[in-house]
Amino acid sequence: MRKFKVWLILISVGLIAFDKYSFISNFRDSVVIWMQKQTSLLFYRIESYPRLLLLHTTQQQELASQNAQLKKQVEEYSLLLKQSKNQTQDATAVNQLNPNGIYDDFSQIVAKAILDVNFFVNNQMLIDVGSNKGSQIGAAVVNREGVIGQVYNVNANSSQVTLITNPEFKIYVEQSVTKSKMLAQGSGNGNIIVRYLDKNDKIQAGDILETTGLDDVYPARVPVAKVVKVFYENNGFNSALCVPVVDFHQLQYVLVLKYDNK
Amino acid sequence: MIINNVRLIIFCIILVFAQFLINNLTIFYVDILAIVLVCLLLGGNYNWTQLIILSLLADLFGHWYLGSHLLAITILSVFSAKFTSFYRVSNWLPRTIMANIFFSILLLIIYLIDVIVGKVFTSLSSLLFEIIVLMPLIQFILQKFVNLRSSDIIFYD
Repeated sequence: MRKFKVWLILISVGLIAFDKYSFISNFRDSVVIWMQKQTSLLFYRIESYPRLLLLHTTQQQELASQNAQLKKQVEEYSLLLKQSKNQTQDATAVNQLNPNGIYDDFSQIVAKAILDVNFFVNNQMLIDVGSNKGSQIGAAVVNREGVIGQVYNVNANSSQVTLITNPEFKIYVEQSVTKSKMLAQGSGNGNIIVRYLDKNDKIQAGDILETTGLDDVYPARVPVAKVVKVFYENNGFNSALCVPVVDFHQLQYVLVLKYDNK
Repeated sequence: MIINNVRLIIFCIILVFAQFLINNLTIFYVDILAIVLVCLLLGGNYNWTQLIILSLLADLFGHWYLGSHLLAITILSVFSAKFTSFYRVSNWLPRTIMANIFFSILLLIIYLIDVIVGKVFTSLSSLLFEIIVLMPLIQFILQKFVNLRSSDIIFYD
């Protein structure tokens, strides 16, 4: 046994020397460092997992509430954007109400057209300006395309307009080319009729009828209607069926004109 | 041999894992396999194959120079033979005291080897932790779970 132990001592001393002066030490060091790194990482993950879990839950709640707020904001902004776009379009439309300055002799009030049930039934229209903005009975209502009608009732904040297709509406017009004068009246079904046309009057389908400017209500040479058909009535005169040049279904902004006595 | 020492092998694997965790995750740097070596040596129920393998494993996992534990345990074995009988019949307190003394001597030998070779590590807190906490615990487990029957004890000269 003694010999065995002596050999063991010699072997262990040899092993120590071999370990000290060979690559084994470096290899062991690198293995130890690697294992320490992995252990530290694992320990860090285990330690921080509850905190991450809590953070994740807390973060989720925060994100959910932020999300709801952002959604609200997005809706608000998209609404504002729509309004802004509409306003831009409205501004463009308003700017185009007076092309070439043909209404410059009149004081102009921009109004928004409200097509309510009256439009469909009574050939009337509501506008959003009243006596507060200077609207008055008898004022002409026009846009860039032509004549729309005339104000017949004024409230504080709104006015009622008789359209040119209303049977109670009459307007003196002239043929755009020949300048022959005639009286146009609304026929009540979206059309305008001109009666008592002399046979010698050169009027045919496609002609544009314009204002005369002699009534101090409408400016001169503003389109009113377009002739659709000329026909003979059993009274010795011709009649012309016309349609308005203004598309009442597309009305948005209109101009209320008051004649300036300059 | 493996079948005869299954419990010891399993126990040593667990101890290696525990040593690894303690050394890397706490402030202590312990040598648990050295405690097992001392307990086996004092208990007398060992064979040199077990001691050699355990010594090399203790060096590898404890990051000591290969052969340190083998040298220390070989030197200790010269003195431990006389204390084996007394150790076997003693209660837990004398056993613990004796084991701690031999363990301290083993650590001293390893420390001297480290001083000679050039790498020294000292930690009084680790030493106290091993002596006060680990030594009684490992002795208890060795006695109750690893070495269960007296018929398992084989004496070698």
